[in-house]
Amino acid sequence: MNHNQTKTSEKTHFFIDLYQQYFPIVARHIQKNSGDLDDAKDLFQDALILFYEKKLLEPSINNGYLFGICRNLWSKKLRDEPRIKIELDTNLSVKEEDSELSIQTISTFMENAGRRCKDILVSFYYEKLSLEKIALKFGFKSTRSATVQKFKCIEKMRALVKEKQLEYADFIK
Amino acid sequence: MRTSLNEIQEIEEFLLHKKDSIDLKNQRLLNAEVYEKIEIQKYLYSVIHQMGRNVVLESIKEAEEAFFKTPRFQPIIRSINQLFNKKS
Repeated sequence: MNHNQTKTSEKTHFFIDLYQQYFPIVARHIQKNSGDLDDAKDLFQDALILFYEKKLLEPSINNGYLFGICRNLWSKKLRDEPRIKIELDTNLSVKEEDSELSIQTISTFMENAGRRCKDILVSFYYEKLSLEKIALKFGFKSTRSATVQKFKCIEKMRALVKEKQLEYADFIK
Repeated sequence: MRTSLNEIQEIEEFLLHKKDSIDLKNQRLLNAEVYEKIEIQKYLYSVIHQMGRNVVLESIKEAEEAFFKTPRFQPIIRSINQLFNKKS
């Protein structure tokens, strides 16, 4: 089992524990407030993403914070009815109207930039791993080498955007 | 590092760490090529963020499936189902 698989498995176990601990309480809350089981499942998935991202920035955050996120998301959804989809709040999120293009381009980027580049970039920019940990995880001799590789991956992805001659409007905000 | 990589680093510091680069700000306004590079890099960060989310979402879906299917969780699942069946 490689390192990535181990990490994924650890992550999945972390989420299973949260399902066990909090999903019953969240489901009860949703049921009391006019929702069904599918609402509870969708909302819990969205909440887990937000909670995970919050934990990346503040590792000491208490798991109880997850229930607060669920409550807020559900209140927001009820307030915003009849809008169905809960929008995840983040500045860096690809905008809803762009998502179809993004999903398409993301998979193309990943295929072309290579799995290793994708893993390095996600580890650094999303998972917020330090350069020391990146160097260790991907077998670089120094943090300097890891930094250079990270920028090479950005360069590669940037070249791909140009190569594919994406419409200017596709990547401009 | 190569010049092109230094340039990426400079744009990154400008975009992510809000490092004030008067030179880059001016170039961004005056030079279409620099403007385009900055916008592409900004877009790439949002793509990376989305890729990260997709990886996490996969783990969450695996966890949800495991939670609803694992025998030791069935008593909890039954009580959740009863909760919603009672409603309808």
